Amino acid sequence: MAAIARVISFLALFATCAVLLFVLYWQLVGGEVPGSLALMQRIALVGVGFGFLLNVRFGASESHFGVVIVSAALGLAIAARQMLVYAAANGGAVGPQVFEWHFYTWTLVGFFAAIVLAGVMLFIEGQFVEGVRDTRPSGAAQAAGWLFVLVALAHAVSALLQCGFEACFDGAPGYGLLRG
Amino acid sequence: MMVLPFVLLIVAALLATLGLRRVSVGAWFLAMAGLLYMLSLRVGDFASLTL
Repeated sequence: MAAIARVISFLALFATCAVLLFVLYWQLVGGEVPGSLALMQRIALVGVGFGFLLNVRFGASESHFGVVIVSAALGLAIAARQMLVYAAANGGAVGPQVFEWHFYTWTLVGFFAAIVLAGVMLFIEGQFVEGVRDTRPSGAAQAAGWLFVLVALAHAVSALLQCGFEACFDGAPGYGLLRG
Repeated sequence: MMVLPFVLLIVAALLATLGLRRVSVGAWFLAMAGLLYMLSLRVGDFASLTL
């Protein structure tokens, strides 16, 4: 069972990287510059991925799943807030759709799924027997770690170009730092 | 300010990849605290909603 849990953590980490890369692709190719709430959801998603990265790198621990659950709960709150604001202010949805759902709807469902996944994985007690260990990681774990770092770095550069060192709450889309 | 949690999470992921587990979790914790602070700045908008 421990091996299965490890594979699931690997897959969840790669899924997180894939989602982060997809929204970056959509931003760069589709020209959809994220708002402040979307950026905050991305931060929470990176936090979720970090929890799975800890599992992959050090072995399973309850605290690693805590990282996933807390990050996903924050992301879920932010996505819910965005949905409520649109529902109340416009009476309708805003932004692009993928498979007939808006991004923030997907994020809400995704964060909920991450919380459920982490909760279910906590039932696999066999994975906690070995405990965390700081041995030399496998090549796959090391590669997954560096991939995750690079994806997070790409998002940080994007946020820096867009917001500079501001809170980015003005709602003006575009890359402020590039405009000078 | 928006970029700060990203930077902290990158530092956390780097530290984890290099094997520093406890410090990396500390960096993650700071990033989430920053995110929670930014969310708290927007929560007040709820007062203007009629739900």
